[in-house]
Amino acid sequence: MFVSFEGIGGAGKTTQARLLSEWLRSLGLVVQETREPGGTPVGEQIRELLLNGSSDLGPRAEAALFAASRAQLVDAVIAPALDRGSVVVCDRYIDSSLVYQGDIEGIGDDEVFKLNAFATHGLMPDLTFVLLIEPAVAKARRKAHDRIEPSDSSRLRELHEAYVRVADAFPERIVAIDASGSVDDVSQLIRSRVSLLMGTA
Amino acid sequence: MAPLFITFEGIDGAGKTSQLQSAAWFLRKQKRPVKVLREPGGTPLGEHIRELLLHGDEMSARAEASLFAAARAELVERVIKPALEEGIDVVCDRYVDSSLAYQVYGRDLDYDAVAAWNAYMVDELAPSRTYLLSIAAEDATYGTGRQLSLFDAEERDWERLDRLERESLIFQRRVEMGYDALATKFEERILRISAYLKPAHIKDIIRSDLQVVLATDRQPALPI
Repeated sequence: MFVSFEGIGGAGKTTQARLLSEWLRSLGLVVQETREPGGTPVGEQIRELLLNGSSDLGPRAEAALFAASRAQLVDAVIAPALDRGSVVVCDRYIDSSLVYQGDIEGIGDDEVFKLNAFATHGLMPDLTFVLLIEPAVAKARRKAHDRIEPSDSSRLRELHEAYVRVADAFPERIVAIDASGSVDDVSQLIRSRVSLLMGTA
Repeated sequence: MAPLFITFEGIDGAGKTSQLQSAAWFLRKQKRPVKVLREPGGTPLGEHIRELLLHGDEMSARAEASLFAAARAELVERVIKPALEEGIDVVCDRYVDSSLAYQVYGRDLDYDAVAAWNAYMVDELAPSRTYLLSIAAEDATYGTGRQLSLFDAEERDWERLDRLERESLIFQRRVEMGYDALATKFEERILRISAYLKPAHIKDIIRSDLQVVLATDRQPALPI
């Protein structure tokens, strides 16, 4: 099983990915937690280029860097873990590209899928949680900001709306969750959806 | 007259760099402004990526292809296109053909996938002319003039080679065969020249070909 978490900075992705992983482990499952961009030595170096490198990267170069990090993550971590029968919980995956490159940079979903088909061999999550939260609330929660998780309110609003659109576009895979509730409430919701998936899988 | 976009291809040790310098010098003699570039590199991002590719951690073939593409996308957008738009000739050491030869033929990635990915990354910009210096892998030299044979390379020179150079000579042979296939597929664009010829002879071949290219005013817009 492959589960990914998406959302703007401050929505609670990292916390919820960790809580879900802990819960799955308590059920006796082997869980591989990872994140994007990054998750491998090469990926972390690419993350560094993306987050703190030159601020005026062209949209194509940015898409290629995300893809490079993702290709390495799929080849070195995700695919081998799934082959071993582990559960993979990933903080950001392809939907981040749909939002950042597809929507914000205007490349379009089709182009993003085409580019990612190369990087991922078409490997998609079984379930994706998009954590939706009012940008103002997210901004107050989130302390550190960078290129991918900006503090600018209008930029956050754009990202939020792009996530809403992406969640609507792929209702079979993506569960949009109101993340403004307490950490426990959100976590319960996520567990019940994962239970459902495990029950039917 | 339209600016030229010339690329040089071939395995390491085929003699690309000195022929590229000579071609650039020839174009400058024709009073043409020339920009000389190398891949990966030529932009701040490209140089970071070059470091990662040459000295970084192990990576999968698809990650490597994606990184080359990222560097190439920056180079095209920030340097090559602006230069061509200003009427400056661009002479580049390696371009899309390198990804096709190394990642497709050398590392077994899908041709169509790598070609489509690269076409997008370079916004369909193809060279007006490509010179492929062709040599058997075991006869290629690694910059210092040392001849490597198939068997003593691993024992003698392994430690002195960087990650890309460490690819085995068998791999280089696959790449060389890939270049041959590309030269056939794109015979209009790629001129394949035997690197066994004397350097002065190769230089003359390239110069006379450049004169023809200049006379026909070839546009850099052929499909990849």
